[in-house]
Amino acid sequence: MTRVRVEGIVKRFGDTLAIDGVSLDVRPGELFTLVGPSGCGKTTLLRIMAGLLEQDTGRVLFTEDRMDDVPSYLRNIGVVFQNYAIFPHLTVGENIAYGLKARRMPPDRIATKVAEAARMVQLERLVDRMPAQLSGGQQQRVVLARALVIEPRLLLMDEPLSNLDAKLRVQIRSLIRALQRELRITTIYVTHDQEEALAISDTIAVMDRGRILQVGKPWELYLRPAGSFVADFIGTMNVLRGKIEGPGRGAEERTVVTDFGERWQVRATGRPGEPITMGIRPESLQLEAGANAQESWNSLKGTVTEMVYLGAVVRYQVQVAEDLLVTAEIHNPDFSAICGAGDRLTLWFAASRTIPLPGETKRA
Amino acid sequence: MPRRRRDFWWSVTLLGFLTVLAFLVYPLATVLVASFTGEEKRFILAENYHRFFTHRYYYSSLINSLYLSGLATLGALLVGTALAFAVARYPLPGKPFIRTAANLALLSPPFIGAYSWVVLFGRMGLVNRALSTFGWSLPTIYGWRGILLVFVVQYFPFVFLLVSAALRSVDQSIEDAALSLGSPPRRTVRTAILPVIAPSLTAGALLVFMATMADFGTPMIIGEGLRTLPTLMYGEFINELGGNPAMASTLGSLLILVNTGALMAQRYYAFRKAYNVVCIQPLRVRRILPGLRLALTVFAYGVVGVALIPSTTIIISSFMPTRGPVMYAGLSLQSYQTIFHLVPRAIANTFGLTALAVALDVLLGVLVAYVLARRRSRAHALLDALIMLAYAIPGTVVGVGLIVVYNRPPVVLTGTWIILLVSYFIRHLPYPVRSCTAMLQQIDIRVEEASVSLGVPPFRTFLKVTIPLMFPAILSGAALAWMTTIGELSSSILLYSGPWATMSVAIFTEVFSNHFGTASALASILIVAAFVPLFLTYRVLGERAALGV
Repeated sequence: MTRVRVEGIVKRFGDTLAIDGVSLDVRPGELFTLVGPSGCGKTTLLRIMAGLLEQDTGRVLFTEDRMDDVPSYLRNIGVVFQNYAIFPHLTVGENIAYGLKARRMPPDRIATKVAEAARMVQLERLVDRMPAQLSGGQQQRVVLARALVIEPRLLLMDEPLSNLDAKLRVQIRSLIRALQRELRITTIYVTHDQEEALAISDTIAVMDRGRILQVGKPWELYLRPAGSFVADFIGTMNVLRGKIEGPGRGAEERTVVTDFGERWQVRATGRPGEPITMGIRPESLQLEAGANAQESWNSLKGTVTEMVYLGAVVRYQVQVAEDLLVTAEIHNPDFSAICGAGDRLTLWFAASRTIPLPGETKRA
Repeated sequence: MPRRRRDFWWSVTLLGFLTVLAFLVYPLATVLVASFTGEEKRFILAENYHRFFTHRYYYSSLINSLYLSGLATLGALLVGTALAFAVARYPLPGKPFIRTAANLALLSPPFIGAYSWVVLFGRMGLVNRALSTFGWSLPTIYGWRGILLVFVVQYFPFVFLLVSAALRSVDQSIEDAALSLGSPPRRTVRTAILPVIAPSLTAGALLVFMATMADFGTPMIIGEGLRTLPTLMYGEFINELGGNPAMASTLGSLLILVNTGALMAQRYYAFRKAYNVVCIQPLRVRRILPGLRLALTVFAYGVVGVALIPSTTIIISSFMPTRGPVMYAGLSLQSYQTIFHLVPRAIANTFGLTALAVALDVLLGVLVAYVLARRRSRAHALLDALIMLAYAIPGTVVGVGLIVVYNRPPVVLTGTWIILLVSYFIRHLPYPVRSCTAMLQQIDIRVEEASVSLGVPPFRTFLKVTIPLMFPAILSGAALAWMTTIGELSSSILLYSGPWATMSVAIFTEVFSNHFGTASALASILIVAAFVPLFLTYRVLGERAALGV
């Protein structure tokens, strides 16, 4: 299994800085996702690892081997592209065999391996078809088999699901995850879809404007975001501001007065008098205080401006102050508790559910 | 793919530049410089041009050329656009036949078209002789009327093909949107459909204008002394007594100026007005009243009927017994026996030189197209423009330029077959380059990257993936180059010498020595030889398309 290290990569296109000094360490066998808005440099970074682009400075290492001067065709990697990049003039079987032929494998070995790979992606009955006769999901499976059959050191996937409809996306996503686990191939996965990133990854790196903002496990990014960009990009976040008034119940908590005059217990560090920015996820807000006596419960009041009923969840937009709109998601809502626009509402949340947003306070 | 400074593709770029510089830019520059040169090679600023614009004998050729090309362009636009709209929008019977017939009309070289009208309506022509038995006669076909007829019949298919393709790319929703917003149908065509197809319309107009400006054979055969720029240039250059090579260069320079000017104007216009249209649902065929349908059907079949007259006349007349320009009713292989006896060499020359030139065009064209499509830089844009220059420059000018440059050391090519090959090669290089760059823009570069990432080095990827995917474009580029090369006259007539006469040259001299039978037989061979590769290409590509490749 390959460990992938990327050290101090810089890449410019003319005057634009696409990658601004990125370093990463991908553990052997893990599925590592680069996620960020379009134009953040994630695909550029992937192409550099694939050897399809040359970095201006910095190093790429597979385990202990420096890859910078190794051309793409000698890196022994599998690449899966967003628009499939299937060879339209070759059959499914020939597509899968393509990399094996390049490796001069004997024909009978190739036949066995192609059959095996086709079975792996459930295409064994379509090996003689031309790509134009396949659906989008089938084409993506061909490309996946083609990349995996060469037993690459590293699998690189560039938005592999973005051309598929929602149902297929979930299906192929679990196929990718299952195969990656089974074959234990180190995989770099690029997507702009944070939900996809959370669902598929061992580790996620959030990128913006050519930089890595945070690397961590999915729940680390979601529950402990390093700043408001990550907090808002991964899921939805209500951002609230206030000032520290004094100590809270424990060393990790403080008493805070918000800009709109509520007094709260929140997770925070810092001295009295300092400004503070806090985040609360919509699903952390609830209609009544919990029974857990270990917790400090805070409340905020407002007027419902919009209600979206989704069955399992009701999503409210609540006007808390003149310039502050809070999103709350109430799960498993009770029939009698459903509010409409214009209703007054009190929302509760536990101190332990607040998320300090460091680095934001100065700008506030 | 990571860029390496001096790789294989760098050498292709260099080779492309060297080829175009040696065989196009340098000869043309020599022509331009010669137009500013007087006797004893001293530099004069505008003496030749002054002479040109003050003598009616000279300047009338410019007026004639502009006038004829202007009218021909207008005529071809009207006929071609009307036919394209009729076929695209209305329920006419036998649409595939109309499309095929319009394609076929492009096959015969224009001077053969001109000759066919002489065979029918000339002084000794079939129709006139038939009418004269009743004591009737038709107005003369010779002079500007005949030229105009040949030009419009010969070139309206360009406009038809381009406008048809453009109309196929207009989505029905555009028309629906305009109509739903309250725009009446006729205004909708003018304000919503015409603007979208305008770039193709102007591209068609440009093709017709440039081709008619450059046409040498048609005015020679049917013009009866009407001077146009190419015919006068040929006369001034070739005439040993009273000819004026400096004036030939001046005429050539004016031809270069007019045609490149037109090319640049169209490019500028089309660049600013090009829209990206996504067509999901092509324009619907509309229902019309039976009377109108009949009128349109008569119009469409009338047009393609007239367009098919030249090739039909040539092929039929080639099997008629003849004496001089007079043809008699009956069936005879006399003309074919004569040509295989008299000019077997010309037939061999034509096929050999055309095959060699097309092979070289395809070889260099494919490689250069790849560089132009995949390595975008200023140098490549310049190379692209220089190659496209060959489209715009008349064969007469290229021929004169090549003679002037290559009839003196260090490289002497005049008098050999190589100079014909060079002219054919450079003039038709744009066809494979165009078709292949267009195709490469459709081929996602990620397909090539996928191959490289699977362990196939870039050049082998080019051979294993890119070339097979480009195959349709290579084939159609080769077929087009073949079709236009095989009947090439305007530079051949200047460049051939001794045993290296081609079929086009032989036809030309046979027509002028009033041997109409042999001319028809040679022309028939040319038409069939131009048709076969194009036909095969359609067959092959059709099958591939059916396979969904």
